[in-house]
Amino acid sequence: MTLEGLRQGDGTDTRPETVLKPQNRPNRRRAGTRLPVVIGMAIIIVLTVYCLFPIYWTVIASTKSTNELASTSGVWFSFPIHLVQNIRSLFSVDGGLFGRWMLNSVLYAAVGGVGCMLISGAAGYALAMLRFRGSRGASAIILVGTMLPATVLAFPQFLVLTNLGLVNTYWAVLLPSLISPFSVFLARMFAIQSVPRDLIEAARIDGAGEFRIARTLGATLMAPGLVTILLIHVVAIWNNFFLPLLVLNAADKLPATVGLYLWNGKVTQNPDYQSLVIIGSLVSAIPLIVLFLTLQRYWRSGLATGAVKA
Amino acid sequence: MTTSTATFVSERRAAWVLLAPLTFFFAIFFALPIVLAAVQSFQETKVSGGLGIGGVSTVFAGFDNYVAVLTDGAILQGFLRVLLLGVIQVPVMMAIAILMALLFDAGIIWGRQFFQTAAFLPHAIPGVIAALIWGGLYLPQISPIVKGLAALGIKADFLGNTTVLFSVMNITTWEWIGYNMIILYAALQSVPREILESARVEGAGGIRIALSIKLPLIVPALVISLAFSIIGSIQQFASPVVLSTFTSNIDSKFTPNMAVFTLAGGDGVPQRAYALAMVIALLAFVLSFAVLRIRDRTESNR
Amino acid sequence: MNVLVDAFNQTHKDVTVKLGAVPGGQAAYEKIQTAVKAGVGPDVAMVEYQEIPTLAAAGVLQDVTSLTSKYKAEFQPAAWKEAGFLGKQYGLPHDLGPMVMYYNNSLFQKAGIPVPTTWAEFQSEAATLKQKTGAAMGSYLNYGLFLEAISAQAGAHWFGTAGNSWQVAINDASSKKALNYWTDLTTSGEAIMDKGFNAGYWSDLDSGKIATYITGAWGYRGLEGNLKATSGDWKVALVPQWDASHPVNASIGGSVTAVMKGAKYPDAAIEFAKWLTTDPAAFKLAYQNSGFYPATVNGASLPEYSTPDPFLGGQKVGAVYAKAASQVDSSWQWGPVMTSLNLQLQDALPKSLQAGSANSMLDTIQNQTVSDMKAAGFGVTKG
Repeated sequence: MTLEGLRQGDGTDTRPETVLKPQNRPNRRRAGTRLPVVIGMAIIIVLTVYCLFPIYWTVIASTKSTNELASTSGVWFSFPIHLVQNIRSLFSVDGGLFGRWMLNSVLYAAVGGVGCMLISGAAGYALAMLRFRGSRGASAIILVGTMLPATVLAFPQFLVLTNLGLVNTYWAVLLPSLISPFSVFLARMFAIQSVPRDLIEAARIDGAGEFRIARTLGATLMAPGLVTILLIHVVAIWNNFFLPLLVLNAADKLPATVGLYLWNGKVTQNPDYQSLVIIGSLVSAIPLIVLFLTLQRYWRSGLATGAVKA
Repeated sequence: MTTSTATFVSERRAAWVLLAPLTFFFAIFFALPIVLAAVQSFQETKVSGGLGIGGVSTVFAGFDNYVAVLTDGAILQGFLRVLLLGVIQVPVMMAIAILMALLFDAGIIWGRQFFQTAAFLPHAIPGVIAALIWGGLYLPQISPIVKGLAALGIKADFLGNTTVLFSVMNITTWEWIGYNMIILYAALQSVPREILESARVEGAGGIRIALSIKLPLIVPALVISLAFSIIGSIQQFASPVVLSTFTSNIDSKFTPNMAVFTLAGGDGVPQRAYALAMVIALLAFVLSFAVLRIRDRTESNR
Repeated sequence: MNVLVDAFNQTHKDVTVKLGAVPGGQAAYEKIQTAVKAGVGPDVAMVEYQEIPTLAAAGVLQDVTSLTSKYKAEFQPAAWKEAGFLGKQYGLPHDLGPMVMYYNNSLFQKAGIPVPTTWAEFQSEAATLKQKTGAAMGSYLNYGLFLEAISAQAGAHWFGTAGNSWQVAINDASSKKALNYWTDLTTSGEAIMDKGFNAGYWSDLDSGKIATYITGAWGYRGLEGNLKATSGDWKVALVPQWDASHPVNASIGGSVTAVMKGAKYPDAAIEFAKWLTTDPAAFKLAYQNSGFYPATVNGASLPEYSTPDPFLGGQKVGAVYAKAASQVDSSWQWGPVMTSLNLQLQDALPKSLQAGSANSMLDTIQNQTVSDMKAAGFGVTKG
């Protein structure tokens, strides 16, 4: 509750909707707003169809057997629906490898995401709130780091990991994913916006140590921002493709994205994998969607903070 | 004054402790790889013995790899393509995102939560998989869209020589439209309500308010989103790679990032991949400093 | 592959094989090279024939000539040759992809055309087929290994060695003949260019839009798994010839179970490789999973190849495959830059169609390959 009060820039739903809702001006509403509502709804519905149609089509496709995929039209289910059968074979084929991949993805995303959040949060707070020589330079390096394409880094990272003897271990994916310049960039921004300097000065005068201030004041005030960082990075790790592709060999260590890509490559030789790839794609997106929906309140306020003053 | 100096000293120490984990991992997994890439970009592998089985040596190559990469017509075309992405796809996507955000913010949409979630859903789908999905929707033999258009007498070719770039743009737009909409919507929601109230009292209509009051106020958020989107277009990789399995119209150097992958996996001079990577990184540096400047300017304006 | 490894481990108590998948497409070979150089590589790897000279030059392959020479007589000469380089053997051949022609027999009957045995017949029948059914006779596959196979069958030798230098002849008359043949067919609509291996291509085959699929013997598995409507209509035949009196064939794809430099147990590696290709139970799994045809001389002895195949209208495939494999020309030599060469071919092929001729494409790629090879330190003379 105190968090709610302290949070700044949490714009999500703080503005009473009534301000804009036409009920306040009934006389106007009758005259002028029906047309805008119709046009507005029409635009939104068209765009929603655009966003949802490919997903809908994939769901349809996933209910079909491999052969029906190429031979039927694709906008409607073909009967009998093979969904249950497809899901069952998804989790049983190759000795239940897909389930293993999903668990790997969860491990990579959870450990990498939380670790990155802690490291980035500490660094972002330091860069934003503490005075030290080189602070500006460090911030600039971080910003430059956000712009480096993953493909540029992947090959040399692979070389480093090979020489550290970490290739084909969980560490090869976990350790590099602890670092995300973009997360540090965000954390610094969240710190600037949500931690008032006066409050820190006041705490210092009260005799609190720097670490205590960072832990109690900083972490608490930055909480929505940190959740946002966690989510953005979890998505990044979940979707990470290039690095795991390079640094892992053992099929049982792969995350779901790379595993599905591996299956997709097998389609040439063994078409039974076609429908598995499609249904696997859908299943692998479910945890992310659930995570987004359940944590919506937090990341929205986090994004709002970032959006306003970025 | 002595207390303030003392505080400053412990601040510095605290800063270094808080930054230590970042610095450690950054050095190993960012700085070191980049140094390695930079060094290799000036080297080339030479085989010996004529037939190539007399051993391999690595020699200094000067700027040879850079010259080779920057005189490769296919690679330069790739740069041109991502430039087109930046100037066509990004503005279109942002315009739609703004429109959606403004409509949601205007409070005239029923079921806002549902529609916002729907728009955001594509972002939760991994890039490779999104490209596979759209690949199916582009393939004339199985695409319900192509079939539907054909029934209306329209012959659509999404994988043609000129159209395929727009098909790539569409996948990016689809993936990021909801994300940008949410950011802009969040920014719109924090526009002070007093301002909107007074505009209404003065008789301004919804569209007027949207264009002349709300839009200017969210320019900072817009600039940042725009900048990150443009930088994102330089990094185009997954969509063209996946689509290239469906059509001959995407070559192996379709975007600069694809060219890096092609060169590194090839058997000619893999160090050319590092040279190209350094060029892309340099370009990213220039862009990121532009972002820094813009951000500083918008910060100082407020 | 993992079913195979499990089977091997169950029957071989003294050797245990651990499987690495090495995902990565083009990057897979780069990955293996880096791993082997850093001393963390595998003992054996399935390597495609065309990559052997590249990996030999990179110094990541182990010379196992002394361990393998006793098995030479059991393998197809072409496969044996391509599993080594300059007299050194780097492993045992696993599978071979002798080019064959799968064809939609009911379309052929509808058009009243016989199975073509020469490319001249193939072309004249293509016109008839197009006229009577609207279908295209074949597909011009934009796929490096296909282009190399049709060139090789026409008599081309893109790479060769003479003394201490490479000979490169990508743009010789035979290659131009082969590629221009397909360019002409495609221009007249009697062939369709496709990348192959995607849902769209299977659909074209299954809907009767394309009447033949010319590929390695392994192409069967893709057809059988993806085609539904025309199942039972298909047959397989030997690929048409340029000169019916001198039949020549080429291989599309296929791989070597190669031993890597630094392998701790090369003899166990060879034992595994031998088992993988010659054990009937093992190859049965490889056939069922991927449609592979073994690189051994008596490859067709596997019972699967002599059982009537319902997809192929009850045809027994063994005889066709065996003959196709025995005709593979063993004078073909792969070069040391096949990955980049194949990408160049695939990138340039669509433009060669627009130009109506493959000549300038082959000339450009010849020059580019020679200069790339010289830059990498190879000695090159024009072939």
